[in-house]
Amino acid sequence: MSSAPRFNSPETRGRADARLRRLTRAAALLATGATVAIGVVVAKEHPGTSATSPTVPAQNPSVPSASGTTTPPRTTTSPPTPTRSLPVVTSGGTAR
Amino acid sequence: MSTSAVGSAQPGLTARSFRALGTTATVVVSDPSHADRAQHILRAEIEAIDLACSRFRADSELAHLHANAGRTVQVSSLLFEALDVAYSVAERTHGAVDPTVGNAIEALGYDRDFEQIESRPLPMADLGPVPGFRHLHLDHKLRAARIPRGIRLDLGSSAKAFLADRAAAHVADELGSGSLVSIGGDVAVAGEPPPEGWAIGIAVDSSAGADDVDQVVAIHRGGLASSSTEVRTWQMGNERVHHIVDPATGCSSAPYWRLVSAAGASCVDANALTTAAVVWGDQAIERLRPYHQAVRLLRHDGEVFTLGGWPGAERP
Repeated sequence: MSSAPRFNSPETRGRADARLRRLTRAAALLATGATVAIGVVVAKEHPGTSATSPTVPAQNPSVPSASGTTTPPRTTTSPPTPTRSLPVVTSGGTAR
Repeated sequence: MSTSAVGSAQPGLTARSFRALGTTATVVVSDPSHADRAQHILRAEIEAIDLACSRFRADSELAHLHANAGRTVQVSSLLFEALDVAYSVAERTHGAVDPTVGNAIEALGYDRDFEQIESRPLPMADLGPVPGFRHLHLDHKLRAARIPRGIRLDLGSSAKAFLADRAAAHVADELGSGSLVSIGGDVAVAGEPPPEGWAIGIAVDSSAGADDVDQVVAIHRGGLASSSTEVRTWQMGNERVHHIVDPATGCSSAPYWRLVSAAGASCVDANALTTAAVVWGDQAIERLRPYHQAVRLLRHDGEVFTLGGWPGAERP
């Protein structure tokens, strides 16, 4: 009759511990490598962005036109400002 | 023609005003020695636009295009640009400001220079919706235009603003002076502005004097335009009609707003929104929001609404 393997022997535990340390180091190395690789890809595709700046880029809303195309309606102009000066002209309905 | 030094708080500005296109044209320059030349430039620009775009002149290029409806017609660069601007404004306002309203506005009685319009005893003709701006075909390569037979164009809505932009830029470029041009209340500025900006009064009627305006605002560049349902009106049968046609009905837009004013990157840009807002009526505020432009709307009951950073304070 053959004897059953002795899993609890000091030699077996030592080998198991050593294997576990190797596996842990390998996993840590793989994770570090993957993180670096992801960082390289992100830096290439989104230059200037940072993982710590979750701001949403400003949207330029477009309104679909009747033809199905989109027309960006935004224009770059400052609104008028209030003034105490006398008007040089009057803007209103086109008078005769 | 009148000449005046304007605005005690804006020394050095000189204005020249004269009658043109059934309204008042004004040019203001920041150097008084340039006033004569500025007026000459504005007159030349008005004459050129009138000859290209007038519905009322038999010798205009637009009349030639109407006479050749159904055919492709090569046109001057000025008329082509005016047609292109009108088409772009129609696209930008999703058809609310449409140049194919020519037949509708004539059926309403606006078939001659506005100074010659008299009240008509006839009831309004009901033409229904206008054909739509996509019937206007523009060939940029050939600088040519084509409209189907039976369609007539009215460029009035955008052409005055286009003229103001062109003339202000021309004066500023040629004279090296800050300039403001107003064509019946549609205003464009160009060149170096006065330090505090160009002060512009807001009133239902553009002929209102400095003491009769509702508000005074300043712009430094671009344009400012206004559209009203209470000025440029006439009697047609039992109805009081005005010159802003709703393309969906072919009739005068409902007078929901007394006055809409807007600022823009150009006078064309501003005029597109004020005219569209009148057509959009009670839907105007929601439809204006995506444009992010400064707009002031005076409702028929006197309530004022502002959008896009238009200053709220009315004149006391």
